[in-house]
Amino acid sequence: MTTASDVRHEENESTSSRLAINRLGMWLFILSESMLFGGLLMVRFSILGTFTHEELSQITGLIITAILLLSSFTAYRAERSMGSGDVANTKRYLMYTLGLGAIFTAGVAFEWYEALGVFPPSTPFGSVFFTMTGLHAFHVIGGLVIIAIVYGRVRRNDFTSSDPWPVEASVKYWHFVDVVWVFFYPALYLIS
Amino acid sequence: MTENVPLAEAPTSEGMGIGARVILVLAALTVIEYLIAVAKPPGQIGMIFVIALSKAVLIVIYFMHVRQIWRGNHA
Repeated sequence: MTTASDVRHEENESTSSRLAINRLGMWLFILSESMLFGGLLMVRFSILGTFTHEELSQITGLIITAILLLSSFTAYRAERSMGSGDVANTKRYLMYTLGLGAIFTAGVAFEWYEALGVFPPSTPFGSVFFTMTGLHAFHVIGGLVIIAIVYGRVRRNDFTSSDPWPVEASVKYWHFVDVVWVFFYPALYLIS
Repeated sequence: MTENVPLAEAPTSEGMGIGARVILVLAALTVIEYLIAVAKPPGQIGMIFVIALSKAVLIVIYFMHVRQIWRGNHA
């Protein structure tokens, strides 16, 4: 005879198994994206060697890197808050992440504005710089859209601590975007 | 009606502390990376690469919880 406890146990097992499959799928997606960004890094070194343009603003690069790292921390806090059912903090940290991501994007736009006059995309360094930062910024904007959608649904109480996957997935994607920048920042700004 | 069972790790004070420590280490490594690039010591490319790799590993382990793939929710 099946008891209510057995039904609950089966439901929890089914949810856990679905979550495990979701996570594996997300990691496979991240792995495939890594191939793309890894290829870009290879292109950067094969075309330019260790050359870096002296006119590139080191301070801007450092500031936007710090902002993106900080946004990873706020995203981490959002995920943790969701895990414990703390909706207020989840919303707060998702909003911080959105704000920091928007500042990062504005920083890249400012960098582009400055760079266009110094090394346009028609130059070897310009083509590598605009391709790498452009593709990364595109992913950042995509991440912002996803987090904004998740934020809206958290506000409507669509997710609970028993179904944290949408928040977790969007946060994982955001961390991945951060990891890519961890390699792009030294490759474009620091190595010379 | 089923109970809400938290599937993600609960934000214990230890969990929060780990996140704060990781972000501090990431910030310190970024500053070191920047200073190496400014000072340009011999072997700077190797040093910068190792630091970047360390930062990525920290994010993947502590923020992205890669260990959940094989350890479930206890990672």
